[in-house]
Amino acid sequence: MQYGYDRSRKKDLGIKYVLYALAAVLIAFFHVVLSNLIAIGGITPNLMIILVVWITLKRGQFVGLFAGFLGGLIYDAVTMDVIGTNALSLTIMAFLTGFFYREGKEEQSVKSMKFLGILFFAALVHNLIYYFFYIKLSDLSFWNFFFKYGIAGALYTTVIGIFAIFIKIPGRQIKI
Amino acid sequence: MQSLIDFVARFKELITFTALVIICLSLISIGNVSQIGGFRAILIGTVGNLQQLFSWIPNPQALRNENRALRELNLQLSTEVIRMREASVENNRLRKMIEFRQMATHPMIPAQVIGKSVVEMRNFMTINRGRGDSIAVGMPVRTDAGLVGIVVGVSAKYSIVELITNRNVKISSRILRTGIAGIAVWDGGENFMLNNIPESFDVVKGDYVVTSDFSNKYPTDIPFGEIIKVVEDPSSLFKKIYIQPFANINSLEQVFVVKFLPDPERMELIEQIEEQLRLRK
Repeated sequence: MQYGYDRSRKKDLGIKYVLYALAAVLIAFFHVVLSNLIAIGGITPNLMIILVVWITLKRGQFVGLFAGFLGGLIYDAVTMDVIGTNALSLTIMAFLTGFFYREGKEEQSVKSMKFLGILFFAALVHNLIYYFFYIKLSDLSFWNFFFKYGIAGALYTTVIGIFAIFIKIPGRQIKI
Repeated sequence: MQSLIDFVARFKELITFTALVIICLSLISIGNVSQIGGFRAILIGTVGNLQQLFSWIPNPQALRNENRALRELNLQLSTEVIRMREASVENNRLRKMIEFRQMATHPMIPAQVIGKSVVEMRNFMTINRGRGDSIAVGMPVRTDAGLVGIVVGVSAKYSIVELITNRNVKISSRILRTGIAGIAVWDGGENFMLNNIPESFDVVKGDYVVTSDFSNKYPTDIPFGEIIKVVEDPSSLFKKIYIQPFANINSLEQVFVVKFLPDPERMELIEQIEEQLRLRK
């Protein structure tokens, strides 16, 4: 009986991870193909940040690290960025977000206003690291660029993150 | 061994994080990863196809930007059109001047107006031709349209032209249609008045006026103006005839100096007679 339960649990978990991966791929493509439709002043929300924060708060720091790393790699590949930049920034972001993970209170974390606060903080961290690499080889002022685009982008991502609060994935609650 | 496993299990997040960061930094330091070149080519194709697929969706921001860019382009092109029109007008004017120069009897020296001045209600202009260009005091100045003035001072490179719109200027004129001659003087405004034309003479509005061969200053038949109004005054024996000059004095840019100087013998004779008349008074 216990063996059957473990198999079913692992299967559910596997399906969820596949769903996360699909979501990551879809988000990456959406960002490249359609994000300009919702751009405001050239600033677009980063849906991958929302996904990684959401996964981290739902599954913990350890899973979040892989989510950030793999999501970042997909993002880098699709957005033609330098491979590793988004992966690094999302990994660090996921690591820091992981400290907000509360075992047994996952649903509260992702379905409350607290989620938006964490998301904004995570987006800021991501943008800070990402723009550091983005600006590095240019003559632009990092802080000017960050204050102009980094904060605005984090805010826009947070606003779009409101929709993530209402996401409900059917199935049993699984902890690892 | 067990303690190592415990250590890894305890700090698995930190160890994983460190490992992933090292991998990321390695990937960044490698830069362009050639191994994924083919993969990226597939991605570019996929992204391109997807973008093509969704290209029908209107993008308000892009449309706004496009509109702005088109408006700027429109403004730029409008400015270009105005410039081209101006160039076309100038081209036509210069062509006319060239033709006119070829047709003219007296040799002409083209000149550019480089300045205008008003000294005690007398109108002058400066041209960029002087003694070095064979210009001398007394030479008439005209445009393709008509008489403009006379050279009153020359230097090596420049000349001062007294415009016809001066109180002291008197132009010996002739009505082209009938040959009636008179003296034209500036009325202080835009026009001239033709004096000494008796009431009985045939003068109508629209008649052209040219310089007459009685003039000791200007060569004959230089176009001067058109009669725009004829007033018959019952209290006077003469008509009041108003002439609008052909040349637009207010917008002179290019002019011609006519290489014509009055006959010195004739001028000398006139001066002698005038002197004798003054002495008799």
